[in-house]
Amino acid sequence: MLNFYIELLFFIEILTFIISIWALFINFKLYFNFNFNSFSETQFKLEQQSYLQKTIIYLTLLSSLALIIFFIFALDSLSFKIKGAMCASGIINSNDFGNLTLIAKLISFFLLSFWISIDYFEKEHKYYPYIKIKIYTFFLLFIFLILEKFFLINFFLELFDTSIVKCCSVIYSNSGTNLFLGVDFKIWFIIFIISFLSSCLKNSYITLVFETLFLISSLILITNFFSSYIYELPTHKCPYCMLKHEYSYIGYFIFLTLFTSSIFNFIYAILGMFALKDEKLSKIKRVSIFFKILFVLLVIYFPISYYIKNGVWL
Amino acid sequence: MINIENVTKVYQNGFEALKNVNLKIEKNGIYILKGVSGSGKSTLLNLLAGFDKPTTGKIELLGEFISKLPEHHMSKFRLQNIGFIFQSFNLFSELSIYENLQIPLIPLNLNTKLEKELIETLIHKYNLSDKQHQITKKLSGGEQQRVAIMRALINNPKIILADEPTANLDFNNKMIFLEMIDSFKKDKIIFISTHDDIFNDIVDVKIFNINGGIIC
Ligand SMILES: Nc1ncnc2c1ncn2[C@@H]1O[C@H](COP(=O)(O)OP(=O)(O)OP(=O)(O)O)[C@@H](O)[C@H]1O
Ligand SMILES: [Mg+2]
Repeated sequence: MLNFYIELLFFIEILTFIISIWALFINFKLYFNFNFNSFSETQFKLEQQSYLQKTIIYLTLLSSLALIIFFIFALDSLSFKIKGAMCASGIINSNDFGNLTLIAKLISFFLLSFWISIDYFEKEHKYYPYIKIKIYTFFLLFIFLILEKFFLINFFLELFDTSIVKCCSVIYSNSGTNLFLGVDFKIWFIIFIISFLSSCLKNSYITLVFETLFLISSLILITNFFSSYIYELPTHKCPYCMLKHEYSYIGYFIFLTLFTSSIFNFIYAILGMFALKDEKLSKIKRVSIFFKILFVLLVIYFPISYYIKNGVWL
Repeated sequence: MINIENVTKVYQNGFEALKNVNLKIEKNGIYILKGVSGSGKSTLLNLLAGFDKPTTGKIELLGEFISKLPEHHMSKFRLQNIGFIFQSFNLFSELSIYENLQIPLIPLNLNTKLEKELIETLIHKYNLSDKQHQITKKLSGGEQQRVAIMRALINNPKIILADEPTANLDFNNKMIFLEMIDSFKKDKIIFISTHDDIFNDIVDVKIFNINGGIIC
């Protein structure tokens, strides 16, 4: 059942987890002992160690990004071995822990990016003004890192007992209904467009609401609308097959632009709530908008080019 | 203004190079740190310049607690406020006098004309105009010393730190050095570590003695 990719996945997961335990250890020390007004030996050491922690967190961020991509890739590599699976979707949906793992991974990636953004703002200042936010963010992050590993292990344990799974055409066929999360498909389309257009709004709370809507509507539309145009088959609806070689790995670009844009916009919103309003914050917004436009251009390219070639919609 | 309070420095190997140092300088002028080899002079100067951090204690320069500054803030502070003359000059030996003086100015982003004016005025003042494009490796010890001083002065810092600046100089060059520092003691703090007695005779000089990491 195990193959080389899965073994490698576990190896990197364990390695990343070990170094993040080290960062947790430093985080506890910072939590209990950090006192900027002190000139004691402990305090000087802590100030040095906060740099070490930063390095570890940067490393964790990079490897967790790689691990999200690699997780899907490794699952895809398993799809040859399990009956019924044609891509990662069959495997990931074979038990409840698959999607939980993926969601936990995305959330911890978001928290890591958030931590690093605060740190980026903190550099402007001499006196570590955001150390408390960073400490709490890291504790939260670590909970998700544990959850993620817990889900991952359970996912594989259950997967090894599974001999047959459903393929994506069974999982995502919407059996006559046009409702997603209880809302009509057309409405999701309108939400997608409105939340895209509102991404240039500056208010933190509005940004938070619309970005959430944009992310959800995008995921629904990628699965149920755009994917058919990528595969050029009205019945083929799947967010995973597009990650395969057959479709030039286009899915990676689609999801990376989507998630990058969302993460930056969420960070923009949350930091805005801390009344952090400066040049760097608008830079974050610009990066988010850039990736969002890239994402939208990427996904609408497929329906439009299909229409131009064939004169009809799917 | 320099204020050092309860500073200790214990090196990685456990050696305590500074023991509870307290020192306060409030006025511009020349200050001498005297002590035998190994007494902790370089250690203290490195802490003052922010090249190293103390193990405990406060170091305040011009109202800034530099021992607390994150490194990128420290470099900025150093560039703006501190001129450092190293014992061995630390010049870029393959670069010319002119180029050595350009380096501290890079972060200031001056326009070329202003930069040229600034550098050439200084070189002229220190009588090296005819050699300004010669690489520093080929200069005499005294000439290199003057370049090192110019480099420390070029961005007009409030504080000048010099670590045994006269160690490699003959008597004549030492006297020239004394004249130079004397000329800007009115608007700068000049803090010099040395075991050279030549500084004892400058008027208004304040001398601190350091022995085994203790100021006495
Ligand atoms: N990096 C280091 N690690 C361990 N010990 C050190 C280190 N640097 C200096 N020391 C020790 O600390 C003491 C003080 O050194 P320092 O360089 O400050 O002396 P100094 O007064 O500048 O001497 P000199 O006049 O010879 O330059 C010395 O005993 C030296 O051996
Ligand atoms: Mg020395």
